[in-house]
Amino acid sequence: MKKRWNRIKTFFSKPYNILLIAFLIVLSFLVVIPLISIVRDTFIVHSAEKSRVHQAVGTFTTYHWKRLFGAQFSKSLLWDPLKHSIVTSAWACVVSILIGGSFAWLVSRSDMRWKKLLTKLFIFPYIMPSWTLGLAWKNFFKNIEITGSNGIFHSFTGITVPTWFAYGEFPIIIVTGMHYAPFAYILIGGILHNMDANLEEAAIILKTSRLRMFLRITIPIVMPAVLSTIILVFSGAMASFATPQFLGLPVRYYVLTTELYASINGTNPGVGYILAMIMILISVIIMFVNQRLIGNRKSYATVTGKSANISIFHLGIWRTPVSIVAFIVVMCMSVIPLVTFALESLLSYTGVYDFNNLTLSFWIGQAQGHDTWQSESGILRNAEVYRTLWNSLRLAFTCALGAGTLGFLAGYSIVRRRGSFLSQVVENLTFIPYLIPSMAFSAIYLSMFATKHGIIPSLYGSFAILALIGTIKYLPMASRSGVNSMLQLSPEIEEAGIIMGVPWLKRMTRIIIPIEKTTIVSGYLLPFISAMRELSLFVILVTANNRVLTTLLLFYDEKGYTQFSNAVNLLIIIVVLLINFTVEKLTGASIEKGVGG
Amino acid sequence: MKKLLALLMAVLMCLSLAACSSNGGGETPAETPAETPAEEPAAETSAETFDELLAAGIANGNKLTIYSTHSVTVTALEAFMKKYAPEIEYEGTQVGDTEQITQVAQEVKEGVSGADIIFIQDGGRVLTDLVEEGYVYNWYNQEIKDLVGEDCEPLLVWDYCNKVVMYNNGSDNTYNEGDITNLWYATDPANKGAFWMKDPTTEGVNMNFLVNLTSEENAAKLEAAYKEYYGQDLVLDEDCPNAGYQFIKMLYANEMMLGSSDSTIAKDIAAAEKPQSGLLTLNKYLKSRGDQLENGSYRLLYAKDEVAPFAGFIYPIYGLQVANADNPELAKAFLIWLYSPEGWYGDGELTIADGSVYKGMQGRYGDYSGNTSNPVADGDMSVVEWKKILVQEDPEQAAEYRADVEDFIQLIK
Repeated sequence: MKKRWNRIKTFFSKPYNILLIAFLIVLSFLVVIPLISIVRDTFIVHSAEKSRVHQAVGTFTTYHWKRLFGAQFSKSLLWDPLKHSIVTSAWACVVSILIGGSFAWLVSRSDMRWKKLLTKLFIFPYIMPSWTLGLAWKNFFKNIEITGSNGIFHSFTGITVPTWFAYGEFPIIIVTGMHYAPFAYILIGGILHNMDANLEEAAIILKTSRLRMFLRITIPIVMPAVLSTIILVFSGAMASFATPQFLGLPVRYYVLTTELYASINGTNPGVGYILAMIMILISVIIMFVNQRLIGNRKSYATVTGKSANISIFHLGIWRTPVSIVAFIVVMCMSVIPLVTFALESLLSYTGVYDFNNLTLSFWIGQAQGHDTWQSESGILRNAEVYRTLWNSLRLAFTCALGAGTLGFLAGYSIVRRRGSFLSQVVENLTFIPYLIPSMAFSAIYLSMFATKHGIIPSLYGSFAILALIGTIKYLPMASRSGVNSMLQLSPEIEEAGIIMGVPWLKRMTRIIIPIEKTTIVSGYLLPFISAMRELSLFVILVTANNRVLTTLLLFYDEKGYTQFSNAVNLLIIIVVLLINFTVEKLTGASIEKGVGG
Repeated sequence: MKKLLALLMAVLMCLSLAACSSNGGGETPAETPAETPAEEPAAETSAETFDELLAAGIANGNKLTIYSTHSVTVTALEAFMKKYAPEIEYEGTQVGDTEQITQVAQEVKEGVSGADIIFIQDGGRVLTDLVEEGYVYNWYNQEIKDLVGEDCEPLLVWDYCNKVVMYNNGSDNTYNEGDITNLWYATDPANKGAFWMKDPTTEGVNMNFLVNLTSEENAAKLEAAYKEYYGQDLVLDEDCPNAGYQFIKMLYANEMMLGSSDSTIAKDIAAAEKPQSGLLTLNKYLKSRGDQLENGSYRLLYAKDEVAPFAGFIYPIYGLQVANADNPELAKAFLIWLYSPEGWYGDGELTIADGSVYKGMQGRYGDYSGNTSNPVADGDMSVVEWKKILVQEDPEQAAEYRADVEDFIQLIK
């Protein structure tokens, strides 16, 4: 008995054990219950479904399952959207790897010009909200064949693009691929950059051709990064909502997320919850494949150490043309979208790109009354905009503080007890929020926290529920970066402190945090930026009184206040970029360090 | 494999945890029936007058909160409170219908303080999701009854809005006034991909319109109009029980374009250089008049009585009381006041929070008071005239058949 008591005492004398137990309890409540909740919601009648199920609200039913998998509706509700999701996500992987991979190679292995500027700009699409490129595509390519009015491209070139180019599968693939291209660049570039030059030098000595070297050395080495990119981009693309909504809706091209949104907001939320479960299942399969394929080879490329002398490929006469092409591609991805937002926000009459048609009214003008298109004050003198901006900032700050701190502590305790069962359970728990689609996750939080539970008051409509869901949803990012950074840190350093009798708190603040400073700040930066540009996670939890900038943008967009929505979009991007670069300048942390660790 | 096992264990452990927690966090909003506070029965006309309710509301002293799909109610609240109850706190917010349904249901169910009164469209879902569940109730007194008449039931109409066929004008390649004479034009292959509607799955009133088209009466009218347009009898497809369904099917098959906002669609149609049209709120016509062409004509025109069998649809925004209101008396007084000429148009002196004069619905096309004695804007037609040529929203029929029509669209979209 005493022996057991002593064992328990020893167990709890280690701060990381206490942390792991705390994480286990808290995350079980915040992560696992939502999962169970989703399952439960697929078997009950919701109030919107009364007229179709003909049963009392809250009673048991198998209606949703029968409807989704029955012969009549399964094609349009499930198989078609599923097929569309898989096709667009798979091709988006190809696009992002082609763009991001080539760019990574050009930056790390060639003598391309303007590298510094281009690498800064290349990250933009990831920092910007996910719908940004979709919206820009629409602004740019719409033309009279499709919407009847001219977009910027048609105005300047007179060229009319076909419908398949402007709406539907093709633009969704290209836009999603471009949005995730920075992932490919960061992951593949990281490996190319740290690659051991000896391998190539050996090949050169053996007079291997450039092509053979590329195929037999470079490609195999970047393969793990390519696979990582595929996993990240595929799951990201599967879960993306805004882009398929903007570009798919007009031609009625539905993917799983847009079908989920339509179901949850329509008269059959039960079906929406089954779709959410299917999406989670797909993510789990991807994660499993990921672990099987590359789980043990993650650090494959860096174990050999850094080489000081990476051979640079000289582009020769192709140097300038290649640089110009890269420059144009980067411009299309990062600068032109911003220009289109600025331009659209300055048009007094939509669709007319004429100098006389420009106005600052939607930025600084007074409201013009309800019989004009400007029924509100310009965004810079609009109290609502400032209120929502402030809400967004404090929400992003709180989420970053929560996810960043918890992620770091989770990383610390998981790595310290690595190999133990408890540590593995907690590591998986911190990753689950990544698998649950944002929209389903928030639907569950809405029902979980609307009611008072013991000491937890009803959080409905409060700031706290937004902060809570943001913290948990972004925990996987922060804990991944926490785990990865702690893995690089040798335990002896902390052990030295233990031997000297330095208490835990002091060891953390004096030893570990200073060493890991940059990575820790990156762990805060990523949730901050994600929260600033988040829409689908907050959209159903935000009430009219605690709107954030992204939901205000959606509100303007739904109202058709085109200039306002473009102006707010630009405002969000500017704020995010400013904060990103300020933090980067001050601390050396960067978004690149947060992605994939 | 070990990791996956660990994940499974984590889930199992927490399942037991969930079972222990009081019904779990997984309790859904819809699970338990709402406890509705005892309120006046909806069917009876309340005896209280505006003056009594106003006095009682001021005595009550609680904050007055409204949610509305319409922006004018928000400024109207400012004007009303400033004049009649300056000492009472208030808050008015514009919230879309789908969002409002979720929010109000959640707030009342959980007893969270929210709106006292709501102004909301989409009668079909309001009836099933809010009224039947007891979250909101229909209320009117004799003063309102005298002004609004039969539109007090089943849900009290505060404002009628209409969506009518709008088309572009102004160049050789666009429509000319009077070109559109039959609603079946939207199904004509000549107009493939050139007819717009706001996505019916995102804005319920549009779905209700499609549902209402399938009623026996409207389907019969559509059938007659088909013969007029195509010169032959309508032959129904196997999956179409009547002409209403057939119309919807042909509309989708003709690549009807779906938009996310009437304003955006209106701007795009107005700027188009080939024939484009759609069903849009009449208010967009008024706004686009600012974009007049050099020859004095407008870029955007709208159909009136020349379109058979309907030129569009008309739907109400209802004014409904919330079951757990903090200040129900003041909410009711505000509602009564909205029907008065002062509430509808202002009196030229009444001001809103920023000090500017309250104009209400002055000069606004496409908004018609439930009190038909309030005159409409110059140049617009009265609600009585509009009702003759538009499909009038029938919330009860919409509530009953909405799931059927949604399922039908799901299969053909």
